[in-house]
Amino acid sequence: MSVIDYKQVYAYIKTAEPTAELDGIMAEMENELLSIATPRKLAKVNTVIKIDGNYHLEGTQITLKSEDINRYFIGVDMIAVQCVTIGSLVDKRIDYYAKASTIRMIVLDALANVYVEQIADELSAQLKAKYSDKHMTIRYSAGYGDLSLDLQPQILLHLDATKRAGVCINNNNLMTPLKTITGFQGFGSCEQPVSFDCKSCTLKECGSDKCPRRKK
Amino acid sequence: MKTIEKINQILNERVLVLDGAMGTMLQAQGLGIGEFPERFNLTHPQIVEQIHFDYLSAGADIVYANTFGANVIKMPNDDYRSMILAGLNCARRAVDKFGSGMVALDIGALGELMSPMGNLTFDRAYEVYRDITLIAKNHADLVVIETISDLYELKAGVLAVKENSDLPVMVTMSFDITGRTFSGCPIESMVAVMEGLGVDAVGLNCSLSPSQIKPLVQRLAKICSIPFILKPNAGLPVIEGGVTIFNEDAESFGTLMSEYVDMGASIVGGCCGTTSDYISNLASKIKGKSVKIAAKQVTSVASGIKYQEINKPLIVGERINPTGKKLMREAILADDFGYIEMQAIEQNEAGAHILDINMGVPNIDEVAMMIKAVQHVQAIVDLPLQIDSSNPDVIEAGLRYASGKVIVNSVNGDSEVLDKVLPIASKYGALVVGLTIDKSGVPKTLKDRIAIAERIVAACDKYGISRHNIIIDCLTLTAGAEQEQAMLTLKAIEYVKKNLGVKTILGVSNISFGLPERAIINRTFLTMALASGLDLAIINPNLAPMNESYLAYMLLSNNDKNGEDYINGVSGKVFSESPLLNSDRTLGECIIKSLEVDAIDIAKKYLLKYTGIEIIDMHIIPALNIVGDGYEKGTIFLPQLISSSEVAKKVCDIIKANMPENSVEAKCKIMLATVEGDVHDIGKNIVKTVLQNYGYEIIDLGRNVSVENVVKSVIKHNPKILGLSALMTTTVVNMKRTIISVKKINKDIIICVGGAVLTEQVAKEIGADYYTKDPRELTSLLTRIIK
Repeated sequence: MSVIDYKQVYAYIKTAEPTAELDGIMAEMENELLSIATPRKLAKVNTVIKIDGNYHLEGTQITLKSEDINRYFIGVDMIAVQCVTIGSLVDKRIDYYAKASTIRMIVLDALANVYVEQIADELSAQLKAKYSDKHMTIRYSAGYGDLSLDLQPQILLHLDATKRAGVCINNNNLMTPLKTITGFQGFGSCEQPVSFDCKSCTLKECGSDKCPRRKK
Repeated sequence: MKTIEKINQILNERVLVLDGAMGTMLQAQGLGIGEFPERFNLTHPQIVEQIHFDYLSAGADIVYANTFGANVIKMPNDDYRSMILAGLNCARRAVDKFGSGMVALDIGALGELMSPMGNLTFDRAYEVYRDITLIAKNHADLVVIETISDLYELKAGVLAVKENSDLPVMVTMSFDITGRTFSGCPIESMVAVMEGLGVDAVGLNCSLSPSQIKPLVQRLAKICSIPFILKPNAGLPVIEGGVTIFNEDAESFGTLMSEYVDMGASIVGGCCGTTSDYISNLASKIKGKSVKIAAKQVTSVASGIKYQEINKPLIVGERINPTGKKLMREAILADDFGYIEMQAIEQNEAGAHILDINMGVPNIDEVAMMIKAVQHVQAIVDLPLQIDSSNPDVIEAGLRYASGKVIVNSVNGDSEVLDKVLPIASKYGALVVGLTIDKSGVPKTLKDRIAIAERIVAACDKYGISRHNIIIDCLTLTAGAEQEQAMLTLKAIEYVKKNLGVKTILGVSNISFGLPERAIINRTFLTMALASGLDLAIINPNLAPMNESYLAYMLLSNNDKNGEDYINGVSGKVFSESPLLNSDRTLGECIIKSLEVDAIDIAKKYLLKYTGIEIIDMHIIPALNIVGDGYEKGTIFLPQLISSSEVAKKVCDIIKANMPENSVEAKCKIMLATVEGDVHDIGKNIVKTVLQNYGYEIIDLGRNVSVENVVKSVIKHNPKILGLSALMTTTVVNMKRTIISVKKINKDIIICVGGAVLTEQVAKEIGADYYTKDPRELTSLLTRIIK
């Protein structure tokens, strides 16, 4: 029984009909991934106020200047800042297979992408359970749509993510370990949109029928 | 009295007490979320001083100055210098006011991931730690480096402090409950490397609560031969109303920590969430308890990720050495680290436990090559290393840039060699291989060989290298020329193990030089040597007979419990004997269906009938085109495309190995790079795999490649095509800068770009010649434009 959702993995590598050989590699790489991954989940929930029409997390420097956020987070009164990672050993192993076996590199990379999403979903589920009296929004990350990637350093500082999860950031706001997700999730008393639309996506050549996020 | 004498005096009488958290206390005094705590040294020095005073009053012997994050990386505007000095002054005033105590310069992780996963190089990390040390060394009593995740960063820090001050150094890393740091460093690797570098105490801080660290305390107690430190958090963090709180109270914190003192902890304090109440409770609970260091020294090697005790026979892979290996020699001369990395990977897959690295080619800068080779190899595999050279400068370079505890190969009985190399090995805490040879050559008698071994051991004693770090090589002589020496070598192994208390190593394959069927002699001698007590066998682990003999010996000697390694090793071989082989299949079909074993077998048969060029043009390329067309139409998926490419590559390698030199000319040279700032290179690697099979010569510059580096490489290699990749919108700007700079120095170069955020339109805007969406489209484009 696999821990990681193979369907999602096959969607990542755009494979409709996996062969027995590919299934075998998938199982081998999943075992390896689970043995080296070090999942970490961080979250802080802050109350929010609106300043100039944008959500501001009270007690922090974080303001979400984004029309998309306003569209997806309707009348929320709290926002959770989140960061999940599965660790730098996974990056190192993907590098290893980039040299040793390209097919394993592709499969391990896709498995890691799905796994870190699963960990992020687990964190969302925990938050949802904790604030079960409220409606939870979708998870929205810096870099989606018009929400600037420049928020990343503030997110990591707010969560003390370098010390607590080993997540670092470079001058281009790219995080390492690579398999790391940060995001915001709002909580409010009204119903919230439950899925993305394509306007928020930065992928320019998307085969929309195969988009794993849309399918999900 | 010097600080280290003070520390030792306390440790002779009782356990040493450290302070608790600084950030937690500052937050209670108004430090905002996301604000640098060190700024309080300048803005609220009286608060910082009072916190130190409270900890001293609670029983702390050492207070950590509020300097944890003050460095040029986190604070590029130079404020950090005044914050460090102000922080140390606050602590000093508190100590003076209290009347006793010691001030530690506190240095935390620099905040960037180490190269190659991140941007921080070893040299840069060293510079930053040195900078902090030089600012602080006249104001601190000791230095602590704490909350570190990467052993390589910690090594840079310890060297920087020790080489630029006389201050005692204590180090702690942050582990999870499995005993690994975020970057994968096991607790044992930390101890092995840090003890070797001569730190004064080592241990763990932050991350875990006292109730979680018991298994880690047991592991530390088992292997630490110097005082070990525990500075855990005040329980597990819980977020309440946007604020982190910790769930263990001062009473239970003190009780658990007191238990750990009974298990061997010598230096204790608290990290996040602890306050002066916790330290007070702790100090009262351990009052009167003495220090117990019970661990014996063990022989071990380590990388930043793997720890290996030498308590059973191990294989040292010998392939990264140019002696008698033409391709390795050529790779070293051409700076071809791709080849060196592949040798590391192949030996790793074949079961090597340690990798020997020798860059000894005449007329090259061997020091620079050793540094690069060490960094490339440890970036790709996790195995500990053996630095192989007779040049002390090369040895020092290898020891300095290796992330783990390594072996020096080698010294001999010549006193001049011993006096040059042993101080270096001692400084870096390396194991030393001593060859039983001296200026007079290889002794012909057992007595003379033992005499040299004893001389080497005595010299090691003189330089502070203890027995557990000495490995004696009793030397393999050629049985074809000196038959009687084979048994003498084995007797010498038995003697030095039994009487000198050291480990043994042997390069095995020289035994058969000049004799027919060398494999038979080699494997037999290997088994005999192992039975005589050999600890480390230097062999080529890719050779099946050697590997099989080793596995069989390990099973029969009860080292391989339940024969798991033996069974796995042998099953792999049975599988490789091609159960799928179907003589009716063509090579093309095998490539399309990704049947590697069949494809290789058929290719070997084809080589009897066709030239290599004919096989490539008539069978391999057409098959790849069929796969590519299927991928384009959506009937074949990416994994199949790549599997077929990998099979084709293996077949091409065999064909090329069987062809006369220079008979295969690459179609043209293509340089690939993921642009500066972008660390995603999966797409670029897929493109590389596919293009190689179409006969293009690929120069892969890797990821996060600076504009300057791309320009330099274009000048050096003069490729016809430059392929650039970027995944993030933020790095497309760097792609544009790269294109502009490259076109300035080579207007004829064809630049193709790809990546998730690019389109035909964006490619035009940034000055690229072509955009392709996948490797298949790129191969079609190249076929068109190169014609």
